[in-house]
Amino acid sequence: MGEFLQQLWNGLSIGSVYALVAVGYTLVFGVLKFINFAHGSILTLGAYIALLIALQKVVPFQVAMGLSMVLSGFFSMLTEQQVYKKLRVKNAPRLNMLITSIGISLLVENAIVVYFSADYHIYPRIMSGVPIQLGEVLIPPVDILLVVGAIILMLALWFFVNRTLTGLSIKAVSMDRDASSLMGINVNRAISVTFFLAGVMAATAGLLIGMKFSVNPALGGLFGLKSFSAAVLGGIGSIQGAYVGGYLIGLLETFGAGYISSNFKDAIAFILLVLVLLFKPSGIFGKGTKEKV
Amino acid sequence: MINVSSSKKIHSLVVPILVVVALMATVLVGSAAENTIKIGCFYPLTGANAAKGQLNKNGTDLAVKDINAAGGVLGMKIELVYEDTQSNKVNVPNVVRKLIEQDKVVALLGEIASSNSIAAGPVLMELKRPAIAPTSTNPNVVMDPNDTTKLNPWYFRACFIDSVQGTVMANFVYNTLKKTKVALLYNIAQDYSKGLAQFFKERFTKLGGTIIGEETFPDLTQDFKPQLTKIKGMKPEAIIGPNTYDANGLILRQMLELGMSNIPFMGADSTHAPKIIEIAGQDALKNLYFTTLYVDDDPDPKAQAFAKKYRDEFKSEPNSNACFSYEAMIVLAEAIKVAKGTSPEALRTAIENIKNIQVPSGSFTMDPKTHNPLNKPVIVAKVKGEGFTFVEKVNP
Repeated sequence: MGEFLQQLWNGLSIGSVYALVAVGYTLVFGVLKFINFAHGSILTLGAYIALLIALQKVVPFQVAMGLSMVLSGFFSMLTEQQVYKKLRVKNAPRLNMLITSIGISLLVENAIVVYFSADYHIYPRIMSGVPIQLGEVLIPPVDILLVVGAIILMLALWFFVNRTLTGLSIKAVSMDRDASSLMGINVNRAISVTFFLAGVMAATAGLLIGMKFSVNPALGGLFGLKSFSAAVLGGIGSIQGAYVGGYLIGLLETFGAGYISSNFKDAIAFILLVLVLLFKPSGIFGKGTKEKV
Repeated sequence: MINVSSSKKIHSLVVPILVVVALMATVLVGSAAENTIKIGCFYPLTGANAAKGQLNKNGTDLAVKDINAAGGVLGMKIELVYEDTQSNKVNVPNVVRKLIEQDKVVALLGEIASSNSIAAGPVLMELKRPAIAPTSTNPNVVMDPNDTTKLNPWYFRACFIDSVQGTVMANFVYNTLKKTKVALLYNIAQDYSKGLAQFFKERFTKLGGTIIGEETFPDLTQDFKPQLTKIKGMKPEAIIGPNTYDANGLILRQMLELGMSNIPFMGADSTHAPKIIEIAGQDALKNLYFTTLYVDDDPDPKAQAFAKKYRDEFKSEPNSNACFSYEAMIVLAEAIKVAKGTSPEALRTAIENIKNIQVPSGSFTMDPKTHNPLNKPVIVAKVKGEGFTFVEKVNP
C-alpha cells in the first residue's frame, strides 16, 4: 500500500509539470487552431533565463525565477506578434504556421546551446532534499511547491478565463474568431494575452523542472512532446482536458514503470493514449467536431 | 574574463615568435637527431577534448623529464614530437602517418577518446610501429580493425577496460561492503551502462550474490522515482548504477527524497565528475562508491610521489589522463631498454612482454593475449566534501 501511494504521489508530481505545459498547447490551439511547436522551447527558455539572471548575482534566485516567468511570457507574445500574426494576416495556411513554430523552437534551443553549451546545468539547491513523511509517503519540499504551485496557477487561469473580461474575450475568440471580431472584441489583443499566459505557464514548468531535476537545452523537446500528448488525450482546446490529460500521462507512465516494466516506461503511456484516441478521437473532454457541408 | 584587446596584441606577436622558434628548433633537432629517441604523441590539443589532452601532454612531459634526468635510455635522450588531432577522428590517420613517415618516430602514444584511437589502428598496422593508448577503455582499440576477434599486433593500452571495472564493482560490493542482495538501475540506451551491468551480474552471481531486481531507463530521463520506488519495495542491500554522472546525480538526489540515502550505491568511472556533487548535494552522496582510474589521495607512496611531482611542475592537480600518460611513457622507455634498440619488431615484442614495472598506480604487467594491463588493481573512491577520496584498491 505504501508503495502504491508513493507511486501515486510520484505520478501526480510529474503530472503537474505536464499539465502546466499542456494547458499552453490547448490555449493557443483554442484561439489560433494550430499546434505551436515552439511552446516546448519556451519551457527551456524560461529555465535558462532564470539561470542567466542568477549568474549575474544581482538578485536572489527567487527573484530571477519571477523575472524569468514574465520575460518568457513576453517572448511567447513576441513570437506571435512578430511571426504568427504576419502569417495570419496574409492568410497563410496553418501548415506554414506549424512549420514556422518548429523553426522558432530550433532557433531558441540552438541559441541556448551556443550560449550555455549542451551540457547539463544545475539550479542552486535552495530547497532541502530531505523529505517530509506523510503516512507511508515521503514528499520532498520541492514536490509540495510543484504540486501546490501548479494547482494555484491552474485555478488562477480558470478564474481569469471565466471571470474576467479579457479572459472571456479569449473564450469568445476560441469559439468563433470572426464572430467575436464582429462583436467588437479586440481579437489581436486576446491572442496576445493567450500567448503571454501560455508562455508564463511553460516557463513555470521549466523552473519547477530545474528545481526538481536539472536543465539542458533538450528539455523542451521531451517535456513538450509528452505535454502535447497530454493535451491531445484530454481533448485539445479544452482547459480542464489539458489538466486531466497531464495528470493522466504522469500517472500512467509512473504506474507503467512501477508495476509493468521500466523498459517501456514511455511506451506504456503512449499505447494507452492511442487506445483512448481510438475510442474517443477528440480526446476525453474534446467536443466532437462535425464538418459543416 | 579575458581581456580581448590585450590578448589580441599578444596574438600578433605570438605567431612570428613561434615561427622563429620553430625554425631554430628544426635546425637544432636536425643536428641533435643522432642522439635522441623520438616518440610521437597524437593527442587532442585543440577541440572538444583539449582540456584532457593537455593533461595527457603534461603527464607525458613529466615522464620524459624523469627519464632524461636519470640518463635517458640506452645512453640517449627521449624526444617527444606532438601532433594535434583536434579531437577529431578524421585527422587521426593523417597525423599518425606524418609522425611515422616524416618525423621517423620509433613508437607512439595516443589517442584519448576510444573512437579516435580506433581510427589510428589501420595506419599502425600498415606502417608497423608500436603504440600505446593511455586512456582509451573500449575493447576494440587494441583489436585488428578488419577482424575484431584478433589483436592488432601494434596497439596496446595502459588503462583497464570496461569488463574489468564491472568485475571490480562486484568484488567490492560483495567482499568489502559485504552486500549479497542488490538491485540494478541502468541506462538501457547506452552500451557502456548495459555492458557494465552485464559484467557486474556475471561476477556477482559467481561470487554467490543475488540480483533481486533490474530496472532501466532511456537517455534524457530525469524522473527516476517510479523505478526507485519499485526498488525500495524490493529492499536491496545495495544499488548498482553504472551510469553517467548526470543520471546518477539525479538518481542519488531522488534516493534522498525517497528516504533511501542509507542504501549504498555503486557507480563506475563516469560517475567521477565534480558536477555530481552540484546535482545531488553532499547529503545525498554519503553512501556513493565508484570505480575510477585515479584519485589524487591514493596512499600508495608511488602515487603520492607522482602527485607531488606533478603539482610542483604544473601548479595544478593531476588526473587519470596525466597519470596514465605518465605510465604509458615509462612502460615505453622500459620496453626500449629491454629491446636494446628501436627496431619496430623488437620494440613491439618488448612492450608485449613487459612485466612488473613500478608505476604510480601499482605494478604494470602487459598481458600478451589481450594487450591490456594484467590484473592491475582498480581504485574505488567516494565523495568527501567538495571532492573525491580514496577508499581502496580492488583486484579484478
